[in-house]
Amino acid sequence: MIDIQHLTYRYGKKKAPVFENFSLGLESGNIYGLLGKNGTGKSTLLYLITGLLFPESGNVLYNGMDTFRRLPSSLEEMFLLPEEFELPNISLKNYVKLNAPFYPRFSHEILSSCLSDFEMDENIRFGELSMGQQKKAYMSFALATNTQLLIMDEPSNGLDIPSKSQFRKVVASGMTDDKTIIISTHQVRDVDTLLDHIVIIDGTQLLLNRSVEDICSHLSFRLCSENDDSAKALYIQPALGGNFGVFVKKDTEEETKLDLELLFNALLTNREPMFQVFNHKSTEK
Amino acid sequence: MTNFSFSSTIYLIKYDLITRHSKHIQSLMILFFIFLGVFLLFMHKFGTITYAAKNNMTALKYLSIQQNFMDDLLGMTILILVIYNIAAISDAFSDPLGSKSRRLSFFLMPATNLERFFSRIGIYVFYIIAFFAVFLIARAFSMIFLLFLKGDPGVIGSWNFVMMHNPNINVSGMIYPRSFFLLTGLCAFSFYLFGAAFWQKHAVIKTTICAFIYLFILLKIIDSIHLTDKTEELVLNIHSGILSLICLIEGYRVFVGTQLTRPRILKLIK
Repeated sequence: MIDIQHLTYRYGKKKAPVFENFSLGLESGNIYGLLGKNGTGKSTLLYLITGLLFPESGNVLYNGMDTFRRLPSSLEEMFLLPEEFELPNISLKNYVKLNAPFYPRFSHEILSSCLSDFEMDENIRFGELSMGQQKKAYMSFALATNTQLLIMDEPSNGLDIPSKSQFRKVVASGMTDDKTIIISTHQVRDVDTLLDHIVIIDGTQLLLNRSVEDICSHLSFRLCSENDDSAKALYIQPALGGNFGVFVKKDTEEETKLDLELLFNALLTNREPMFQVFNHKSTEK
Repeated sequence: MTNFSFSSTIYLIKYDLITRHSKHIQSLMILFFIFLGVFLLFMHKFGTITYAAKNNMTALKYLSIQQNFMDDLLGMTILILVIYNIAAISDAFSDPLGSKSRRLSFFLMPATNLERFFSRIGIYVFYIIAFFAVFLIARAFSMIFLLFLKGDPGVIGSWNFVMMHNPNINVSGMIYPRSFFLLTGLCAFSFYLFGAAFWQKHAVIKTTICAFIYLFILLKIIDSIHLTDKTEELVLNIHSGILSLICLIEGYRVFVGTQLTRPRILKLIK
């Protein structure tokens, strides 16, 4: 669905590249979690995917079409929910009336269902809503566009505690096999149960692009026991009640739940051994 | 695949007019009140005396001089208002490009670049039509005021926008704004359109400064060549035509190349 080939991008001729010879492929039917440190280019990558930025070299293809051309046929199948947005001071109904014609698969049923999941009324004006409420309304609209590609940049920022679980429910219910959702976030605990693929980028490089299932079949995320040799841990993080660690999963060992924070920190601090785990196991297979 | 759909363009224009209605209304209200103010001032100074003096030749001659002055004054005011209108439409053009979040939603609208560009030109056309409409409404308001206060609509009632001249008095001080509205108007329109696409932020101020610098240099060059009046007019008209075309094409090129963030000058040179 999305094919990024040898992408190079920088914000100015004299500036260091954000991406250099970067390649990535994203398939439909998955919810991708895009993770990376501040300033590593997560939002830039999203803008490049949607054609809002043009690559210096390389290609960003969406269903085989270059996204920088901004063709309606690709734009009507993608929606970007940015971290910061401006909504006009009009009613939601009016907003839908004006925007829905641009999205051929727009669903009023999905909109109503999302709004009711977020416990919001349909008769609202954007100007009268708080930032969090605006985000929920905009998110409902984004899901109702029913586009094949939905990109969300820090979607859980600004949402209150109940809204975060409502958000997970809304996204999960809107997911179908022909869709792809990319969620870029630092709030990994808000979305970890939603994601089925993890993409981690760091300083022009792609560190990881694997399914959650694949990661959990390679790694074990658990509390260190007395029998564990701490030297064998790929990463250890002190926590209440002991140390949590990332270990190479033994074949006899049961799969553990993915801990995104541990995985992320392990990849950043102990890069080479982590790469070896995935490469070694892949070769074995 | 077609590159242009009229209905998409209309949707984009409609979207802009509705979502930014308060800004559009504000600009047009300012225009309306300036027009109304000018008309009321004119009526206060000139009013219905013109009608009373219709058959008195001495009074008519005196009035002709006054009429000349007022025509010039009003002509200048209208010129300033036209410039204000160009600035307002230039602002309306660059409005969806003015901030990162606005650019983001504007360029993600499923429409072609050509449709997006024409939708902005559509906003220009809307402002030009609105300008005339506001002029007529302000005039109608002034006439109603005068009818209530003095019993007849006076000179304002017989005024024509295209030819600013009171037909009740045969004076020579007529202003024909034809060339302004055609070539010079088109040139200003294209120049501001290019400026709006190029600068996006504070486009009106930056374009106005550039326009003044450009005009100053142009007039200096023309003065130094010593042309006859007719040749000078011809040269200026050819210049306006070429500049309009260049600005429109470059404006579109810059508009299409607009990204969320970009080194604009480098792109242009490239």
